[in-house]
Amino acid sequence: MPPIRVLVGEDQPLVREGIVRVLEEGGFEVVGTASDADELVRKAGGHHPDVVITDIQMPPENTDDGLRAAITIREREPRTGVIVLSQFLEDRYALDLVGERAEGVGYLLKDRVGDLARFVDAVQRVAEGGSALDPDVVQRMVGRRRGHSKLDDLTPRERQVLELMAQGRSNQGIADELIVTVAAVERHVTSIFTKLDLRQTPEDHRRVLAVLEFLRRS
Amino acid sequence: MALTVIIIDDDAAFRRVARELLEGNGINVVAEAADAQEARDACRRHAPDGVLLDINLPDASGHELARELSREQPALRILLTSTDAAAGGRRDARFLPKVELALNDLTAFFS
Repeated sequence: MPPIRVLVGEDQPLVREGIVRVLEEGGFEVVGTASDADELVRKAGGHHPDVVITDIQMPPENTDDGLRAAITIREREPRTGVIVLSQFLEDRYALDLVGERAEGVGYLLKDRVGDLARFVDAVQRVAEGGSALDPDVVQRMVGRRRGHSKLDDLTPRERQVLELMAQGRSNQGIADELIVTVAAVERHVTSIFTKLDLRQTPEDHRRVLAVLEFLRRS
Repeated sequence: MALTVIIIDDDAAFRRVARELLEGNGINVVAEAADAQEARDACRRHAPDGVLLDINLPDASGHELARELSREQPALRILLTSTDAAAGGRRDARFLPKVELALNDLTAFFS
Protein backbone atom coordinates (compact mmCIF):
# COMPACT_ATOMS: atom_id res chain seq x y z
CA MET A 1 0.00 0.00 0.00
CA PRO A 2 1.44 3.42 -0.90
CA PRO A 3 2.25 5.67 2.06
CA ILE A 4 -0.29 8.24 3.24
CA ARG A 5 0.63 11.64 1.74
CA VAL A 6 0.67 14.56 4.16
CA LEU A 7 1.02 18.35 3.80
CA VAL A 8 2.19 20.26 6.89
CA GLY A 9 1.37 23.90 7.75
CA GLU A 10 3.45 25.43 10.54
CA ASP A 11 5.24 28.77 10.61
CA GLN A 12 7.95 27.96 13.13
CA PRO A 13 10.72 26.09 11.29
CA LEU A 14 11.82 24.14 14.33
CA VAL A 15 8.31 22.88 15.11
CA ARG A 16 7.76 22.19 11.41
CA GLU A 17 10.91 20.08 11.29
CA GLY A 18 9.76 18.25 14.40
CA ILE A 19 6.32 17.44 12.96
CA VAL A 20 7.87 16.30 9.67
CA ARG A 21 10.29 14.05 11.53
CA VAL A 22 7.52 12.48 13.62
CA LEU A 23 5.44 11.88 10.46
CA GLU A 24 8.35 10.33 8.58
CA GLU A 25 9.18 8.10 11.52
CA GLY A 26 5.53 7.07 11.52
CA GLY A 27 5.77 5.93 7.88
CA PHE A 28 3.98 8.87 6.22
CA GLU A 29 5.18 10.70 3.12
CA VAL A 30 5.42 14.46 3.68
CA VAL A 31 4.66 15.91 0.23
CA GLY A 32 5.18 19.52 1.24
CA THR A 33 5.27 22.13 3.97
CA ALA A 34 3.83 25.63 4.19
CA SER A 35 4.72 28.49 6.49
CA ASP A 36 1.56 30.56 6.01
CA ALA A 37 -2.13 29.92 5.47
CA ASP A 38 -2.25 31.09 1.82
CA GLU A 39 0.63 28.85 0.87
CA LEU A 40 -1.11 25.96 2.62
CA VAL A 41 -4.34 26.36 0.64
CA ARG A 42 -2.36 26.71 -2.58
CA LYS A 43 -0.25 23.63 -1.95
CA ALA A 44 -3.27 21.57 -0.89
CA GLY A 45 -4.77 22.37 -4.30
CA GLY A 46 -1.54 21.38 -6.05
CA HIS A 47 -0.59 18.21 -4.16
CA HIS A 48 -4.05 16.81 -3.33
CA PRO A 49 -2.62 15.24 -0.17
CA ASP A 50 -4.49 12.59 1.84
CA VAL A 51 -4.18 14.74 4.96
CA VAL A 52 -3.33 18.37 5.74
CA ILE A 53 -1.99 19.04 9.23
CA THR A 54 -1.85 22.67 10.29
CA ASP A 55 -1.24 24.90 13.24
CA ILE A 56 -4.15 27.25 13.98
CA GLN A 57 -2.08 30.36 14.56
CA MET A 58 -0.35 31.15 11.29
CA PRO A 59 0.62 34.15 9.19
CA PRO A 60 -0.49 36.39 7.55
CA GLU A 61 -2.80 37.54 10.38
CA ASN A 62 -1.38 35.26 13.08
CA THR A 63 -4.84 34.68 14.54
CA ASP A 64 -6.84 31.65 13.39
CA ASP A 65 -5.56 31.71 9.79
CA GLY A 66 -4.61 28.03 9.87
CA LEU A 67 -8.13 27.08 10.96
CA ARG A 68 -9.71 29.13 8.19
CA ALA A 69 -7.31 27.58 5.67
CA ALA A 70 -8.33 24.13 6.92
CA ILE A 71 -12.03 24.95 6.49
CA THR A 72 -11.36 26.22 2.95
CA ILE A 73 -9.39 23.07 2.12
CA ARG A 74 -12.24 20.88 3.43
CA GLU A 75 -14.62 22.69 1.08
CA ARG A 76 -12.37 22.60 -1.95
CA GLU A 77 -10.79 19.18 -1.51
CA PRO A 78 -13.46 16.89 -0.07
CA ARG A 79 -11.13 13.87 -0.28
CA THR A 80 -8.40 15.53 1.78
CA GLY A 81 -8.62 15.03 5.53
CA VAL A 82 -7.60 17.93 7.76
CA ILE A 83 -6.12 18.03 11.25
CA VAL A 84 -5.66 21.29 13.10
CA LEU A 85 -3.23 21.58 15.97
CA SER A 86 -4.15 24.00 18.69
CA GLN A 87 -2.03 25.48 21.43
CA PHE A 88 -5.07 25.69 23.70
CA LEU A 89 -8.38 23.92 23.91
CA GLU A 90 -10.95 26.09 22.18
CA ASP A 91 -14.16 24.26 21.36
CA ARG A 92 -15.41 27.00 19.08
CA TYR A 93 -12.48 26.18 16.78
CA ALA A 94 -13.42 22.53 16.76
CA LEU A 95 -17.09 23.25 16.08
CA ASP A 96 -16.22 25.63 13.23
CA LEU A 97 -13.89 23.07 11.72
CA VAL A 98 -16.20 20.08 11.96
CA GLY A 99 -19.25 21.98 10.73
CA GLU A 100 -21.90 19.48 9.67
CA ARG A 101 -19.49 16.77 8.59
CA ALA A 102 -17.38 14.84 11.10
CA GLU A 103 -15.57 12.74 8.48
CA GLY A 104 -11.91 13.23 7.68
CA VAL A 105 -11.32 15.78 10.36
CA GLY A 106 -9.13 16.12 13.43
CA TYR A 107 -8.62 18.68 16.19
CA LEU A 108 -5.73 17.98 18.53
CA LEU A 109 -3.77 19.83 21.13
CA LYS A 110 -0.36 20.65 19.74
CA ASP A 111 1.68 18.87 22.34
CA ARG A 112 0.01 15.59 21.43
CA VAL A 113 2.40 15.57 18.45
CA GLY A 114 5.09 14.39 20.84
CA ASP A 115 3.09 11.24 21.61
CA LEU A 116 4.18 9.41 18.47
CA ALA A 117 1.85 6.38 18.62
CA ARG A 118 -1.30 8.40 19.27
CA PHE A 119 -0.42 11.05 16.72
CA VAL A 120 0.29 8.46 14.01
CA ASP A 121 -3.01 6.76 14.84
CA ALA A 122 -4.87 10.08 14.57
CA VAL A 123 -3.37 10.90 11.16
CA GLN A 124 -4.22 7.42 9.88
CA ARG A 125 -7.82 7.65 11.04
CA VAL A 126 -8.33 11.04 9.39
CA ALA A 127 -6.69 9.80 6.17
CA GLU A 128 -9.22 6.95 6.10
CA GLY A 129 -12.12 9.40 6.47
CA GLY A 130 -12.52 9.03 10.21
CA SER A 131 -12.15 11.68 12.86
CA ALA A 132 -9.62 12.42 15.57
CA LEU A 133 -10.89 14.93 18.06
CA ASP A 134 -9.20 15.68 21.33
CA PRO A 135 -11.09 13.79 24.07
CA ASP A 136 -11.74 16.96 26.05
CA VAL A 137 -13.32 18.60 23.00
CA VAL A 138 -15.48 15.56 22.27
CA GLN A 139 -16.89 15.66 25.76
CA ARG A 140 -17.83 19.29 25.45
CA MET A 141 -19.24 18.94 21.96
CA VAL A 142 -21.41 15.95 22.79
CA GLY A 143 -23.03 17.91 25.59
CA ARG A 144 -23.65 20.83 23.33
CA ARG A 145 -24.75 18.77 20.31
CA ARG A 146 -27.39 16.93 22.27
CA GLY A 147 -29.08 20.20 23.15
CA HIS A 148 -28.71 21.55 19.64
CA SER A 149 -30.21 18.51 18.00
CA LYS A 150 -33.35 18.66 20.16
CA LEU A 151 -33.99 22.25 19.17
CA ASP A 152 -33.04 21.47 15.59
CA ASP A 153 -36.03 19.10 15.46
CA LEU A 154 -38.40 22.03 15.85
CA THR A 155 -40.08 23.47 12.75
CA PRO A 156 -39.48 27.18 12.11
CA ARG A 157 -43.01 27.87 13.35
CA GLU A 158 -42.44 25.89 16.56
CA ARG A 159 -39.23 27.76 17.11
CA GLN A 160 -41.09 31.02 16.69
CA VAL A 161 -43.67 29.88 19.27
CA LEU A 162 -40.91 28.89 21.66
CA GLU A 163 -39.20 32.27 21.23
CA LEU A 164 -42.46 33.99 22.13
CA MET A 165 -42.84 31.69 25.14
CA ALA A 166 -39.36 32.79 26.16
CA GLN A 167 -40.59 36.37 26.05
CA GLY A 168 -43.29 35.40 28.56
CA ARG A 169 -46.28 35.39 26.18
CA SER A 170 -49.38 33.32 26.94
CA ASN A 171 -50.94 31.06 24.30
CA GLN A 172 -53.50 33.78 23.62
CA GLY A 173 -50.72 36.38 23.29
CA ILE A 174 -48.81 34.12 20.91
CA ALA A 175 -51.98 33.49 18.88
CA ASP A 176 -52.52 37.25 18.57
CA GLU A 177 -48.94 37.85 17.55
CA LEU A 178 -48.88 35.13 14.91
CA ILE A 179 -52.49 35.74 13.81
CA VAL A 180 -53.51 32.12 14.32
CA THR A 181 -56.09 30.45 16.57
CA VAL A 182 -55.33 29.55 20.19
CA ALA A 183 -55.98 25.90 19.26
CA ALA A 184 -53.21 26.11 16.67
CA VAL A 185 -50.80 27.53 19.25
CA GLU A 186 -51.72 24.74 21.66
CA ARG A 187 -50.91 22.15 19.02
CA HIS A 188 -47.49 23.77 18.47
CA VAL A 189 -46.82 23.90 22.21
CA THR A 190 -47.68 20.21 22.63
CA SER A 191 -45.40 19.34 19.73
CA ILE A 192 -42.55 21.40 21.26
CA PHE A 193 -42.92 19.57 24.58
CA THR A 194 -42.84 16.22 22.81
CA LYS A 195 -39.77 17.07 20.77
CA LEU A 196 -37.93 18.42 23.83
CA ASP A 197 -38.90 15.32 25.84
CA LEU A 198 -40.90 17.32 28.40
CA ARG A 199 -43.79 14.93 28.73
CA GLN A 200 -43.78 13.88 32.36
CA THR A 201 -44.54 17.15 34.17
CA PRO A 202 -47.47 19.58 34.52
CA GLU A 203 -47.87 22.07 31.66
CA ASP A 204 -46.67 25.21 33.46
CA HIS A 205 -43.50 23.49 34.56
CA ARG A 206 -42.94 22.13 31.05
CA ARG A 207 -43.36 25.61 29.66
CA VAL A 208 -40.59 26.90 31.89
CA LEU A 209 -38.37 23.94 31.08
CA ALA A 210 -38.88 24.45 27.36
CA VAL A 211 -37.97 28.10 27.64
CA LEU A 212 -34.90 27.28 29.75
CA GLU A 213 -33.79 24.77 27.14
CA PHE A 214 -34.20 27.41 24.48
CA LEU A 215 -32.26 30.04 26.42
CA ARG A 216 -29.42 27.66 27.22
CA ARG A 217 -28.98 26.64 23.63
CA SER A 218 -29.41 29.91 21.77
CA MET B 1 31.12 14.05 25.25
CA ALA B 2 27.72 15.36 24.15
CA LEU B 3 26.90 18.97 24.88
CA THR B 4 24.27 19.55 27.54
CA VAL B 5 21.39 21.99 27.04
CA ILE B 6 18.32 23.12 28.97
CA ILE B 7 15.19 24.30 27.13
CA ILE B 8 13.42 27.15 28.94
CA ASP B 9 10.01 27.88 27.43
CA ASP B 10 6.43 27.99 28.69
CA ASP B 11 5.17 26.37 25.48
CA ALA B 12 5.12 22.62 26.20
CA ALA B 13 4.70 21.67 22.55
CA PHE B 14 7.72 23.75 21.57
CA ARG B 15 9.85 22.21 24.34
CA ARG B 16 8.83 18.73 23.30
CA VAL B 17 9.68 19.27 19.64
CA ALA B 18 12.95 21.11 20.33
CA ARG B 19 14.04 18.37 22.70
CA GLU B 20 13.23 15.64 20.19
CA LEU B 21 15.22 17.38 17.45
CA LEU B 22 18.23 18.28 19.60
CA GLU B 23 18.51 14.79 21.03
CA GLY B 24 18.22 13.35 17.51
CA ASN B 25 21.30 15.43 16.66
CA GLY B 26 23.57 14.36 19.47
CA ILE B 27 22.84 17.20 21.90
CA ASN B 28 21.86 16.09 25.37
CA VAL B 29 18.80 17.93 26.73
CA VAL B 30 19.34 17.51 30.48
CA ALA B 31 16.23 19.40 31.58
CA GLU B 32 13.24 21.46 30.50
CA ALA B 33 11.90 24.48 32.38
CA ALA B 34 8.52 26.20 31.96
CA ASP B 35 9.40 29.36 33.92
CA ALA B 36 12.33 31.31 35.36
CA GLN B 37 12.19 29.62 38.74
CA GLU B 38 12.40 26.15 37.23
CA ALA B 39 15.18 27.40 34.98
CA ARG B 40 17.30 28.68 37.89
CA ASP B 41 16.91 25.38 39.74
CA ALA B 42 17.71 23.31 36.66
CA CYS B 43 20.80 25.38 35.76
CA ARG B 44 22.19 25.08 39.29
CA ARG B 45 21.62 21.36 39.35
CA HIS B 46 22.90 20.50 35.88
CA ALA B 47 25.37 23.30 35.03
CA PRO B 48 24.60 22.88 31.31
CA ASP B 49 26.76 24.06 28.41
CA GLY B 50 23.87 26.05 26.96
CA VAL B 51 20.25 27.12 27.27
CA LEU B 52 17.56 27.83 24.68
CA LEU B 53 15.64 30.60 26.38
CA ASP B 54 12.24 32.08 25.47
CA ILE B 55 12.18 35.81 26.21
CA ASN B 56 8.49 35.81 27.27
CA LEU B 57 8.36 33.74 30.43
CA PRO B 58 5.35 33.88 32.75
CA ASP B 59 7.31 34.93 35.84
CA ALA B 60 10.26 36.97 34.54
CA SER B 61 11.80 38.63 31.53
CA GLY B 62 14.04 36.27 29.59
CA HIS B 63 16.55 39.11 29.17
CA GLU B 64 16.89 39.47 32.94
CA LEU B 65 17.10 35.74 33.44
CA ALA B 66 19.84 35.59 30.80
CA ARG B 67 21.89 38.20 32.67
CA GLU B 68 21.36 36.37 35.94
CA LEU B 69 22.37 32.98 34.54
CA SER B 70 25.44 34.53 32.86
CA ARG B 71 26.59 36.02 36.16
CA GLU B 72 26.35 32.64 37.87
CA GLN B 73 27.86 30.72 34.98
CA PRO B 74 29.89 33.02 32.68
CA ALA B 75 30.67 30.32 30.08
CA LEU B 76 26.99 29.45 29.59
CA ARG B 77 25.88 29.75 25.94
CA ILE B 78 22.49 31.40 25.76
CA LEU B 79 20.31 31.40 22.66
CA LEU B 80 17.31 33.72 23.07
CA THR B 81 14.14 33.20 21.13
CA SER B 82 10.52 34.42 21.00
CA THR B 83 7.35 34.15 18.96
CA ASP B 84 7.55 37.95 18.81
CA ALA B 85 10.14 38.76 16.14
CA ALA B 86 10.70 42.24 17.61
CA ALA B 87 11.30 40.99 21.14
CA GLY B 88 15.06 40.80 20.71
CA GLY B 89 15.25 44.59 20.84
CA ARG B 90 18.53 45.86 19.45
CA ARG B 91 20.43 43.46 17.28
CA ASP B 92 21.55 40.71 19.53
CA ALA B 93 23.64 37.94 18.03
CA ARG B 94 22.16 35.61 20.56
CA PHE B 95 18.56 36.27 19.49
CA LEU B 96 16.65 34.40 16.80
CA PRO B 97 12.85 34.67 16.57
CA LYS B 98 10.96 31.38 16.44
CA VAL B 99 9.77 32.18 12.96
CA GLU B 100 13.42 31.93 11.82
CA LEU B 101 14.88 29.46 14.28
CA ALA B 102 15.63 26.12 12.62
CA LEU B 103 17.39 22.98 13.70
CA ASN B 104 20.59 24.03 11.89
CA ASP B 105 20.75 27.21 13.98
CA LEU B 106 20.44 25.23 17.17
CA THR B 107 23.07 22.66 16.31
CA ALA B 108 25.44 25.38 15.05
CA PHE B 109 24.98 27.50 18.15
CA PHE B 110 25.39 24.70 20.66
CA SER B 111 28.15 22.73 18.90
